[in-house]
Amino acid sequence: MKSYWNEERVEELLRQLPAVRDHRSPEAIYRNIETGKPYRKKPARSWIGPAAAGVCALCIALIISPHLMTNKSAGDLTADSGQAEKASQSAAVKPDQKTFVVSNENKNNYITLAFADSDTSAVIPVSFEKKKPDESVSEALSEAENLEVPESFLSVPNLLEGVQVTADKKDLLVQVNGRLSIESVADADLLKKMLKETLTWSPYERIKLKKVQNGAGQDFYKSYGISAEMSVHKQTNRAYFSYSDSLGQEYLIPSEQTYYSVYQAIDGMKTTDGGSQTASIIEADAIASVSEREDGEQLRIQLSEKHKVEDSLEGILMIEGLLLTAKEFGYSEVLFTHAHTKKIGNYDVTKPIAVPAAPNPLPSH
Amino acid sequence: MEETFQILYDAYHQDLYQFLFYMVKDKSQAEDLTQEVYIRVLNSYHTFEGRSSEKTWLLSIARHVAIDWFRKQQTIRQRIMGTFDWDTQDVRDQHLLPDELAVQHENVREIYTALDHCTIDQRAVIILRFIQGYSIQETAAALRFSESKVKTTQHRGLKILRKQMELLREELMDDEVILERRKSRGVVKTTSGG
Repeated sequence: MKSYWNEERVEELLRQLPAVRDHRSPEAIYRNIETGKPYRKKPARSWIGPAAAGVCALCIALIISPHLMTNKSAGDLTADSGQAEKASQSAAVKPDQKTFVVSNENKNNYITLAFADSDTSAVIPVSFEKKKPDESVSEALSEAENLEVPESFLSVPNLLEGVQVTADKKDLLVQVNGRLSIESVADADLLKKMLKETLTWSPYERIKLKKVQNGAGQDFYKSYGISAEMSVHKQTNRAYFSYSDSLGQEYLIPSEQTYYSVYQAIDGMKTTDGGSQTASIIEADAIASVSEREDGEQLRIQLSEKHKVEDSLEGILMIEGLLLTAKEFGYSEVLFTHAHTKKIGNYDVTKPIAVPAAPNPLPSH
Repeated sequence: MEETFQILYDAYHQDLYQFLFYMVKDKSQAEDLTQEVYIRVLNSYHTFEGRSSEKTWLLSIARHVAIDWFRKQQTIRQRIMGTFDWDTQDVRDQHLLPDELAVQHENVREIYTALDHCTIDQRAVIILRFIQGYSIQETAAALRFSESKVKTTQHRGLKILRKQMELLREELMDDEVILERRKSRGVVKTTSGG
């Protein structure tokens, strides 16, 4: 039976939906905006101290007793912190951004640190141009709260007040002052993810957490140990998705899930990462096949005839997300074939493209 | 600052408000969210480089403001209900019809209600395309989608709306059949006065 409602009739009905107007005066709206501004200030530091101390304690505890984490799901930092107001946004939207990665040629000019978006609890690796050629990860991490990121982004020092970061050979030493108290498992989990993500992109192999003995809370320290350490594999076998902050700035962020093979990872990239925070960067029919060169250095991705990848934001996110995913699986370059266009973003997609050094470069801080 | 606001208000305010109203279907929330957009825009206006139009820039921010609002609503619901399936991004709400819609033809009111069954992205595309009258290109720029994604999202959204309208029509026809049967059995008296 032929449907009574076809697309044209539905479209016609939609066009008949009435115009809805705001009858407030511009003066009244502007007054509201003005009075609304204090609400948009960066969250008061007062909540960060006690909460952060608790986070640190719990993080240490959880590293030592990982089973404590298994039955808890990562929650909403903002929600769990309660008092934390939504921070205002200062970063600019970049409508025609050409890249979301740091190229290999530039790798020595950037440092990558992980941030958590307090709106969503997403962990985002962000790369910053070094202020000086010899700037170290520990220096950058110590001063991370001063970096120019959207104000809803929390850095490790935002969560660990009184933190001091130093480096010792292959270890990053994070020292924390202050009394510790447990506040939220979700916050501790988030901090752990941020530290691990920072470590992934650093030259270091381990992060050692230490507390500074100051007399206060000794019993508590004893209960949870005086130091903890975590390490990560540099090749973490993850897939990449796009993440959009509240100002519309896009980022490429790795999946929480890891994959057995690059083929599975690329398949996984066609769906979402199981959360509201990320979006797929590959249309289901965009890739015809994936293979690798015999020497295992080059990943070959044949683009589909059905889906044209354009020189657009979407196209750049797809190409660079695939490059980062290839990097996760140890490939040094990717060759795209059957592209409908020669140029996507900064790339000539008819030639092999070297995998990038890091994701999400931001301008000099 | 006030001058910048006035320029933006004069040029885009009603468009912006209407977009947010149809996204969240609540006038009071739409007012708050419109202000939120202005706050974000004014805070970063000095960095606006004019590489996209102001209108698409504003709408791009409006979309994210709406998404944030839905996230918060779902967080609240999630806490109350226990779980929320983000994959469906279902954004149904139970708001009353505004005055402008109360006087419309029944089918128009039904399509307004059917919008609840669309995802956030589908709703945004449909509002811009058919209520605001934007072209595919303008919609793509405002939502930062590719044109092909706008087309796909629009197609999927319209399909859902069509299905909902069909379901409503079937329900209505079923009701009429039942009523006719009852009438024929003398269970229901006609009210025509004839």
